[in-house]
Amino acid sequence: MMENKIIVMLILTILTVFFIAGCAKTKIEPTTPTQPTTPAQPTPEDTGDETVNGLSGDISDIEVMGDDLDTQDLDNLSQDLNDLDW
Amino acid sequence: MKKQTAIFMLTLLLISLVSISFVQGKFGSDKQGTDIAPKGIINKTPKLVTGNVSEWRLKTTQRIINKIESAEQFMQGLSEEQTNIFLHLSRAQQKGILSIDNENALQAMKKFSLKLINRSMMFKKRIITANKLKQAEQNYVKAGQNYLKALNSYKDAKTNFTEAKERLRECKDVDSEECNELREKAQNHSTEMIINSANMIIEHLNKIKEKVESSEEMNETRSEEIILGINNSISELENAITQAETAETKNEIKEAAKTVSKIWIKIRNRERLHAASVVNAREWGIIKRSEHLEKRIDQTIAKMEEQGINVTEINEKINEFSAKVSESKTKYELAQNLTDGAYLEENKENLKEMVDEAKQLINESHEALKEANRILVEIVKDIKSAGGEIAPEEETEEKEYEVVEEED
Repeated sequence: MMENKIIVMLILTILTVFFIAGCAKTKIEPTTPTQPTTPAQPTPEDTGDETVNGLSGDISDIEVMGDDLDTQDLDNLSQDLNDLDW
Repeated sequence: MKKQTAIFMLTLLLISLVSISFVQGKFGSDKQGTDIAPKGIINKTPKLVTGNVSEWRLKTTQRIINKIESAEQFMQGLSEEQTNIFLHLSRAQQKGILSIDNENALQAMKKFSLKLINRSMMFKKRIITANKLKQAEQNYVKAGQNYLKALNSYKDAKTNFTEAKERLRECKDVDSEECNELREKAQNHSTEMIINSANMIIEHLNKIKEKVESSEEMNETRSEEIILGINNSISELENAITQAETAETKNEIKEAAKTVSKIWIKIRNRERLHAASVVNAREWGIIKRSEHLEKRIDQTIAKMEEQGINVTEINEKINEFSAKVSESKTKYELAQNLTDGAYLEENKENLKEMVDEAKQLINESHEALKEANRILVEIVKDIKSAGGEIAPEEETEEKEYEVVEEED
């Protein structure tokens, strides 16, 4: 009879441990999805920088292109040609 | 007794399982419901939440709505489809709509619709093969070199002509060998001036043409129209060069000079319009990419929030970024309307005014983009220092939509 009581107590203790462990495990769970992303970090980091750098580069390019397609040198051309006489 | 013990054990096991699933369930709903519930987009759009609208869109919109009193009433007035459209607007667009009164805001929403877009065409209006792009780039460089060569030759010819002309002042009514030699020099240098000025214009037009040829942000129809116009102008200039080369008398040379001058006066504002169109098309591409980046950053900070990272300051900066991109887009659209109208304009003065105004707007659009980019660099820095990472470009099968606004 005494033996049975001890067994029941032991089982109860084990189950209580499982119960607590079960709850504790669930609380940590939200951090679990972040773990697989950790090794893949370099790729997003690179992509982010590349995109931003690419945009910055293209914004500068537009300025260069705008200046390059400007007609300042050609502004006085007509006047020069119309005045061409000697 | 053994039976009782077994039943007791089983009961305890079941209780523990129920408690575990309860805690899990509670956590799961927290994760989905974070800052979505307060003003009820989730209640308003149950199908969207479980359907095709990404959760980060809801979070982003909720952040904006939370700060605006009248937003709840506005959201309630939207149909499910309109809510979906609203969720696809940029932050600045959402704020813009929420800043007007409910009735007008709901009316404004009727102008918007969602359009399914091809991912490969998100930032392009046409596809140009890599070979053609490479060729156009090489031709552009070559045209630039030829232009400089013609410019330098023109400057030399002008200097020599001016010098000969100065010296010829002393040759009035003088028929000496030296004076005749000076007259011949003046004639030759003036011919050189005409030919080089025409070549400068041709190479300048070639530069624009190559930029048009390689512009994936410009539609095919406009591109063809520009190239046809440029080719016609080049043909006229080549004829003028032949005219100058075959001119023998002073009057014939002067006539050839006037021909080039007339062509240039005729095409000048048209050419400025083409150049402005190429630049504005590039602005369009950058605006599109910036808008797309805003969405990726929204996804990023939604993820950071889930990880418990404070994103309040970054969020404010994204609002500023969105506002600047929106400002740039507005100026771009105004410039685009002007250039579209200018292509139909026949009156030279009107055309000049329209091109001047369009160029001003393009510059303003560009300045706003530069400012947006400055803020973007700060955002990326802040995200990284807070331990976040910009969400990578998703290679999912998820359909990509863009909001299109019906014109008045």
